[in-house]
Amino acid sequence: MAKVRERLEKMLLLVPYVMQHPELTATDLCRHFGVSRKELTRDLQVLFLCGLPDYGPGDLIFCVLEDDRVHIEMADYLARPVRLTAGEAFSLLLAIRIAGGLLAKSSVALERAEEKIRSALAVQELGDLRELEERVAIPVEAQLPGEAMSELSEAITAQRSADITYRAVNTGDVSRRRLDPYYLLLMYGKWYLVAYCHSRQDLRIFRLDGIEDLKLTDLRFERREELVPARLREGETVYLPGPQDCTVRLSFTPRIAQWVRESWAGEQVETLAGGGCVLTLKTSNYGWLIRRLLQHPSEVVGLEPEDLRRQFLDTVRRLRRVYEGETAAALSVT
Amino acid sequence: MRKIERLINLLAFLLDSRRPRSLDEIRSRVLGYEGIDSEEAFRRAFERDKDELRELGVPIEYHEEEGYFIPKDAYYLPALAFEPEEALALSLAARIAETQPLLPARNRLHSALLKILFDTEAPSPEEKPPLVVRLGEGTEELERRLEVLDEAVGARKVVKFSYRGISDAEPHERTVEPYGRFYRQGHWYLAGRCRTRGRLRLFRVDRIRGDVEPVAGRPKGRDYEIPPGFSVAEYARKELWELSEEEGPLPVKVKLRVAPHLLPALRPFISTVERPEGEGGAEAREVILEATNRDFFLQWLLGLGEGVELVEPAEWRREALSLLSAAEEAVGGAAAYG
Repeated sequence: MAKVRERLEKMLLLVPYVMQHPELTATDLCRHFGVSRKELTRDLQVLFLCGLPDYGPGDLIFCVLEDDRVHIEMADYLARPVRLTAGEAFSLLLAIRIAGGLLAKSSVALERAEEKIRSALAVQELGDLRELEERVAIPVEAQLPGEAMSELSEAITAQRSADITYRAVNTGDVSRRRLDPYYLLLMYGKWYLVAYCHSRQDLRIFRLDGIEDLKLTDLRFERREELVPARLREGETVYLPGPQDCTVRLSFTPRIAQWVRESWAGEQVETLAGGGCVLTLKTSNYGWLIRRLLQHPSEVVGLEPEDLRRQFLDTVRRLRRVYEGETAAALSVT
Repeated sequence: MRKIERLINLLAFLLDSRRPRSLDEIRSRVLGYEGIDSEEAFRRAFERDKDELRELGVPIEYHEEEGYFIPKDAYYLPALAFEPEEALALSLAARIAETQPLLPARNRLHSALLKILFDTEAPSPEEKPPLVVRLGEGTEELERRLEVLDEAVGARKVVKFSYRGISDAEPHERTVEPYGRFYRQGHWYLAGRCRTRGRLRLFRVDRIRGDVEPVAGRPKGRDYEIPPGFSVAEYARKELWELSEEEGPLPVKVKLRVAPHLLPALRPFISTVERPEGEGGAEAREVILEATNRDFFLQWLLGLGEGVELVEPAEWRREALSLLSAAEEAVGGAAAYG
């Protein structure tokens, strides 16, 4: 059933498309509609057998595929596609929502496009669309103000270097850097910028919400693709391996084994006989690791190497002393 | 005569007609119904065909005494002119969205774009956009679950699945009236009324075990209603500690002492800054925010590291202390594995 529906849906779009764009080759059509040459031929063979009563030569749809050209006639009643359905409109609006913050330069154009899409819907469909919109929520927003976002898009697409003021989100350290912005990544609900950092002379990852100021320069750069690890480019990780990385081993109680497996999906997690687990990963960023472990401080049972264990323990002790005070102790800012 | 041919003939017949057509006319004139002997079998076949076309968005009306009719203005896509930059932005947006494996209605995107740009000379951007956008890991299994859930929400059909929450030792069977799904920090969540527990609950879709199965209910029509005013959007904007997984506990006022460098990260959650007021300065500030779920809140708070301290409620503060003391004990001695 579903197969027939899918095919028919494609054909009801294909026929008007061919009639509207006689210049398109069969090869173009296959690409546009995501079908193989064989499927296209098969669909045309079906159309060839359809039409109006009494199904004589003057009533049937006329279609030929010749020299990579498709030609359709006698199907005036299929000269335009079926009106947009609520589901289709919804898919477009979601696309606008997700990409909107990124295509900052086009945000006005996208807004107008959205209005036009809504205007193409019948009253019934508008109601169905509203219903769909109420049932799905994706709060994806650009975390840079529109102005800075559009400067950044410009920097990426035109390959122009940019000067930024960056505040490290966890330490609060502020630095000024010159960057060659390569890519943006959305991972786990946060935006990251992958860029070549002139002061570090290497690839670095920045959280977009840490960029406080961004100015375009007139300097052009070349992307050094060889610096970008494949896993980063594919959006599988936001971690950049470095020469200072060392292997750490962490062991956890059974109670949070599930959390460990979920939080470090893709890393090596070994399950122990008692239900606990051991996580092995490479990192040089102890600060970040310790903060993550502090989410479940009492479930961590072992850390290697020793300097990591020390640092974790010192942090836990300092925090414990803060909480031992009956009232809030004076905070030491680190 | 194959079904697809009969469907096209039926559509052509009704689209080409200026007046409603009776069942008799359809049966005697549309090629494809001729081999069907009984009136009863014809009616069944026609009903199925009609539903099939309606699923595609074909508006087939029934006019009393007269028969079936497709109003042309309701069938054909109205003329839509997009400016070149609008068309380009739309195509680019669609290409970014197409790479998101778990996006709802993603399979509609392609035909939607072709339709909407029907009257526009569409510039097709061949170059890959310099953006990698990834909303979440997409396995086939997750995709299948979400598909079943989306369909169930739309038709208001009850589903059941096996679920293992983060603190559950074993997976449990749940029967749920799904209300909608939302995306939060890398994961899709299902909101719905759990019939097993009789309350509103949130489920992380990747913690479901195996497939989501529809529960047999009424063959047609809805099996439950979503309470008016319920909005998944409201859930999607919140931190987990702002929500309780279950309806019930009221939000608790939490007082924190925060070092200035952590203020920006906390800003969205703060309801009041007690002292000192105003911005800037190196002094720690006392702020108030609201939370419902103590354990989630402490996880989040301790995960911020040093520079923030929970002041009140006293019971939450004691819990933080006991977690930290236990931690010190666990890793304080010689490192031991196994």
